[in-house]
Amino acid sequence: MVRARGMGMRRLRDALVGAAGLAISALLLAALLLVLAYVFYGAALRFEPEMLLTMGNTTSGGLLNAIVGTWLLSGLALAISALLAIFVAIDIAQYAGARVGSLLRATVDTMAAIPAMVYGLFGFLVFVIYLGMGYSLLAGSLTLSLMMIPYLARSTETAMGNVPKELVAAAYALGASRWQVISRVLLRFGRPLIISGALLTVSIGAGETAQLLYTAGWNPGLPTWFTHSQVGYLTYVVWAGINQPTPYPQGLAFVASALLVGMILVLLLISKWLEGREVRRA
Amino acid sequence: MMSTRASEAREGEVAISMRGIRVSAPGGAEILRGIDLDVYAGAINTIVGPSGSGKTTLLKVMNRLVELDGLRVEGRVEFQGRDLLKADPYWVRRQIGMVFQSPNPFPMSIYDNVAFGVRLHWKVSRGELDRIVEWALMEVGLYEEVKGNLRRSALTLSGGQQQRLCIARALAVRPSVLLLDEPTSSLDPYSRDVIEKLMLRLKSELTLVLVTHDLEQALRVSDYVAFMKFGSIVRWGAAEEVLSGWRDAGSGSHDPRQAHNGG
Repeated sequence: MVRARGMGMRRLRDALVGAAGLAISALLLAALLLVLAYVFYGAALRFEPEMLLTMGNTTSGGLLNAIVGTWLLSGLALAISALLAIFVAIDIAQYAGARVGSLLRATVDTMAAIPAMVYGLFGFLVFVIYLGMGYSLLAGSLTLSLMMIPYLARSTETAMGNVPKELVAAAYALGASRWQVISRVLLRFGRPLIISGALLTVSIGAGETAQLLYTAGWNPGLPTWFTHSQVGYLTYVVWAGINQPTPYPQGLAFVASALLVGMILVLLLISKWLEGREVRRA
Repeated sequence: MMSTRASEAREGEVAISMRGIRVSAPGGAEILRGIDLDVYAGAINTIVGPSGSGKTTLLKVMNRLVELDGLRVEGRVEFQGRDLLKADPYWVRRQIGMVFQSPNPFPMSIYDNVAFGVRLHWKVSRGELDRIVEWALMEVGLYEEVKGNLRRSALTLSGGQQQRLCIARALAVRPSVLLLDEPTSSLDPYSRDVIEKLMLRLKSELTLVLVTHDLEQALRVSDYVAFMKFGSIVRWGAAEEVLSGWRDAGSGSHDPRQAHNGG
């Protein structure tokens, strides 16, 4: 009898945990939908076509300079961090278990934990002032890439770790060198997941403001060079526009938010699709 | 570009000679405890024994894959006049190919699978690569089944076909020795027969080292047999001699230890 009651309690507990999980998921989903609805509805109410077609200064004009600036900053940051992150990931994967590997891994994890504002300050002091780049595309991208490297390194490492060990063994057994195994097996067969990780990282970078305030500045037009030429970006428009008392800048802020969220959703969907393709192929 | 197999051992000669092979895990546990074994050229050399006796580890000593598992190897392995354990591991693995327990084709086309190893080692013209791929697929009797479909994903092949593809992939780099780690254990009986016939045909061209659980299979194909137990070789010699003890013990027992005790 005791045993029967125990079973009943266990079943009850399972049911409660299941229900709680469902409730929390529903709550999160509702919050997400609410934010999306608020942003897209607000943007739709205030949208004017010239907002996408002209450049502006957050109080008047459009968002074209900020859209282009966002892509330039996150694209360049991705290029810089991809180069470094792939080497970090290869190092981690190669020295897995060894001391060098765990040191690198700890470094990368710590980098991910540093607040964006601190990176902003670092970028300002080092890239803008000390290296004399001024508020610029390069200073902004370098600072963004500092924050992106840990994400990219981790996702690349995971992607390479997901390549079946049997394929690695097959390549070694055919006489492949370490580098050949990395380039022709790990990076090649891990590619869909590596790209998906890169897209997620870009979407994180595109959503950053704090670091860019210190390093990219703001430009009502387009930057003319990598250094000493400030850059506009969408998060700045949101930050600046929402505090304005007049409706037009607020409208710009809403549309900029919707563009950012839309961009990130598209990147997320592509990355999910790539992951799905990976699973189907395996 | 394909060099002829330099100093290739002829039938009946020793292709690989192992002396005092000890393999231990980083913690110090011994997996192989002093193995002496000669592998004969142009023959099927079979290693049998219960699970955990070190058969696969011994196989991986011969192509130095054992080092990738972080294991420590001591002893001497003579191959083509040098100590294999001190040679360039990439050279060793090109000379000594390996086929694994479960078919492990790359997720790419049939053609690219066979060409994979060739592309690692040589720059060859397209025409030459075509010829090598065709030759390797013919060697394993797969060409007729897949010709015209070489661009198809290797993963669309059946398990038995995939395993033959993996053998073709290994043969394409022209090894002089082929290691086979329970190559039929994951296959159906028909595919097993096809691969056994293939092994018997291949031994006229190269040296085969087979690890198997299946004593019936060892009986059917082996020229030489080594029985392993607890990381040591307990019997070693011509197949007839070594396996007779087990056969005489009656068909009721498939336990390799019977053969050992009987001898």
